Amino acid sequence: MEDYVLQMNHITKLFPGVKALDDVTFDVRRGEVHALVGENGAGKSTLMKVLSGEYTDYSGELILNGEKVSFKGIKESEAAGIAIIHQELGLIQTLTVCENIFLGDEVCQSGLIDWDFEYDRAKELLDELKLKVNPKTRVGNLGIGQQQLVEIAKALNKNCKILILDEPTAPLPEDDSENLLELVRGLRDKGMSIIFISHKLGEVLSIADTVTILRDGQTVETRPAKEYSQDTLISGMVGRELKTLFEPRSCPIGEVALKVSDWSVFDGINNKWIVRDINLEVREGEVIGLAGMIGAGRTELGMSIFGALDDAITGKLEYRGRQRQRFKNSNEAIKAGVFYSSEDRKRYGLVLTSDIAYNASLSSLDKYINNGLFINRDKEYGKVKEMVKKLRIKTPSILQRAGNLSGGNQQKVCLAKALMTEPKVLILDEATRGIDIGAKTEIYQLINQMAAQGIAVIMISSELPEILGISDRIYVMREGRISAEFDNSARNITQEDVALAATGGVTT
Amino acid sequence: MTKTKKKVDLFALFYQNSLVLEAIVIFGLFQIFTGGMFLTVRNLSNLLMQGATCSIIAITMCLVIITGNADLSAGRYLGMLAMVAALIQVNYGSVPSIVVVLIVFAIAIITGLWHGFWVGYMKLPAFIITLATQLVFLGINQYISDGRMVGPVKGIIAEMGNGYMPSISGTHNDTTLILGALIIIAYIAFTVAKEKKSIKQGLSEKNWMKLVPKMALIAILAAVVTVILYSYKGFAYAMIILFVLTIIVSYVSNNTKFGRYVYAIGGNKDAAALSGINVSKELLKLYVLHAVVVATAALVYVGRLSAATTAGGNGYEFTAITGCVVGGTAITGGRGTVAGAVAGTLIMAALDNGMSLMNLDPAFQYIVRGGVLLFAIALDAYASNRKARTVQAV
Repeated sequence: MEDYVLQMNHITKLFPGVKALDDVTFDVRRGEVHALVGENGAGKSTLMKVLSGEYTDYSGELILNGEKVSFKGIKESEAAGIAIIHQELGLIQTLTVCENIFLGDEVCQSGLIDWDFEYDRAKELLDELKLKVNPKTRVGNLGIGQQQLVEIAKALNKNCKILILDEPTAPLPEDDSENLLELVRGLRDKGMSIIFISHKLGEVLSIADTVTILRDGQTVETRPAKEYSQDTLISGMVGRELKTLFEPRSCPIGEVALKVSDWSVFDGINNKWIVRDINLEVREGEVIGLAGMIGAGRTELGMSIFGALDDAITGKLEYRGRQRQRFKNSNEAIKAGVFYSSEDRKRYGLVLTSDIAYNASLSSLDKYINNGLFINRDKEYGKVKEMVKKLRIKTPSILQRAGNLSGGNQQKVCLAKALMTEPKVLILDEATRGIDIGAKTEIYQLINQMAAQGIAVIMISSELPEILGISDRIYVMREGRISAEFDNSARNITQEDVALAATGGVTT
Repeated sequence: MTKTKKKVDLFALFYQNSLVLEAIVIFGLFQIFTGGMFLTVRNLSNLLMQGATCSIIAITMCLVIITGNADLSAGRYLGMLAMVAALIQVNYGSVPSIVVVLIVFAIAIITGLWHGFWVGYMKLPAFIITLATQLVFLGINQYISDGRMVGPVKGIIAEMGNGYMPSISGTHNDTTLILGALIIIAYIAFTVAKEKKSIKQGLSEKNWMKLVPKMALIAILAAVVTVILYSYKGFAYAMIILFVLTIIVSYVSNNTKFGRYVYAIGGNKDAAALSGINVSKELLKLYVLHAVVVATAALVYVGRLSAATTAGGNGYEFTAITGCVVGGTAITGGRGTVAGAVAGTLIMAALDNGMSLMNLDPAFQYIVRGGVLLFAIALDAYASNRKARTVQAV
């Protein structure tokens, strides 16, 4: 009998329209690093949310230390010794390190916070993690790597037995990543179990004892890490030859549609350059990929071209063969024929409380106005229906609320909105994030169709296979600059080439 | 399982029809407590006249709330404009009243631009900006009037507040009957045409069973109101102004870019900005429209009372905001309708009117009004939380 600290058996979780988890089984031994890998949308995060009690409406059983449990919220799972550190850190930037560590767990003496105890304990935890910062420092003043350690300190303070790290190294520079991995090994050796979620397969193979692969909400297999290579991991995650996802394009590449030179963006609030000296061009009918790590400045580059960023921008913009002023706001950009579709469709993409038709036509209402004043519903709805059909948006009616759609369909509504403006240049930021493989394939086909119509597409993505599979050229960004440019017309660039440029020289 | 489902439906049913239920309860209770004074032809006509002012404010107040903002200055602002109109008419009697109206609208446009500038372009919280201007307006009112009561007003302004539709025959309020009938016919014709079109476009399943009773209810209500007013003095111009403005702004909010953008800004400001909407400009437009509508309310108000005081309009913003919330406008923005807000405000006016008729201690009146607002907000929050939960559970 193995010493399992956690067993998750036959977990199934439904979302409206999507089976996020389908009979998943996942067991973790005491004192091991267990990597959970899978493509975006494979169900990793959902599984972890089931474990941490964020989702309660699932079927299946959860066994912790041999006892059947069911958590009704994060509080309960934390009390049971499970701590989760999300991709987006959950620290409050304006509070101090100490205050963050004890947030929700304040140690009190007759109703007042016992600061002496808290500072001593915080210091102890930070020392254990070899983090040399004063507990009275504001978290906002720390680097992202240090903040992550503060999160871990917070988890340690809660006496956690199972630590879940969701993409912990994604935002970190190489040195910090190495430190973190070292730390994780140390925690494991002390008997803690760590669930490690990462897209960086090299890292996974170097740190994990066991690997579980998820695909489309199902467990593919669980095996010791040493039985895997990067290739076998990838084929397990993808489940098919990658090439079939991306059909070849044969459309001609035309004139330069958009070109920026010496493009820089300065963030006055944090007092730093977030985009620096970018020279980039995209041609009609061409798809260019913009790769790089989270925080490399890709989103800021896209939004600054679109005129949607308040920061100080310098640089020249050439649009359809002519030098012109930078777009002052998104309205001007859309009118000129440039559209940016955001990575965060819930925050920046959709009005979730409104219906599909409303969302889809929001950026192109000018086309559906009668007598310069009133909206022509017939024309508007007609066009929206056409888009719903073309993009294969699964919905009973175009009056369905956007918030009720699945992620893939929401993304398609964002694309419909973009296409209805009839753009010449389309910037797609993480257009396939968090959606299932079927919808992804359809979106790739759509991008091909757009290119065939002569639209210039800039595809920002963190998923290398998709960048490699769909782009004619690839720009890689690192720390605000372009660190490499590749000609990928023969689709011969490898993940290693891009990863090397994105991380700055050290292969993972 | 089936049991919980049944419960759920009951709440939804209650929530969707809460306006009608509230109206029935309020009217019923007051009829009993006032010993039959409430539901008299005369009182109902008065109620509509009194309620018109706040209801006009609610027409655009609801749009302001839908964008996620607010206007706390509306009441004092109305008081100030009423005073301006009254002062000009009393001190410069030779100025035609139409010019006075235009002057008031001009001032309104300037203040609308002012609010829109701070809220839209400087991106400051509307609560604080309008809280500040509320005091400024009160101060201006006191300064120009020197604390006196100023009146009487005359001409169009008096007509706007106090005038009734003329009669052709001279013996009956025949015009009222004709207009009422026309409105009911137009309403039925439009609703049926709209539904038919929806069905043709495949956007509506044939919901006649649901639509017809609702249509009948509204038509009957309109008929009853028409007959009641007919048997008293007929339609007042104030009521017609309220009605026409409601229809216009309602139509604008549903069928123009501006209206769409108002809902988009309230539903998701960030997404709206990235969709090419100039959020600042739309907010500026909205505050100008709102100021003009409040100015109209101010003219109706001073016309009805025939005199302006420094206390004028005190608390009207509260009635209008409460009315919006009661009428289904989400205080968090993004959701609500003009017609609902007007109906909600009329119910609030009925509440005020009834409590006055009962000679209820003003202290209790305040408590009741505050309580109604709290209840309405709580109900709305509960309904939307519940909705969020139901969607996840699908």
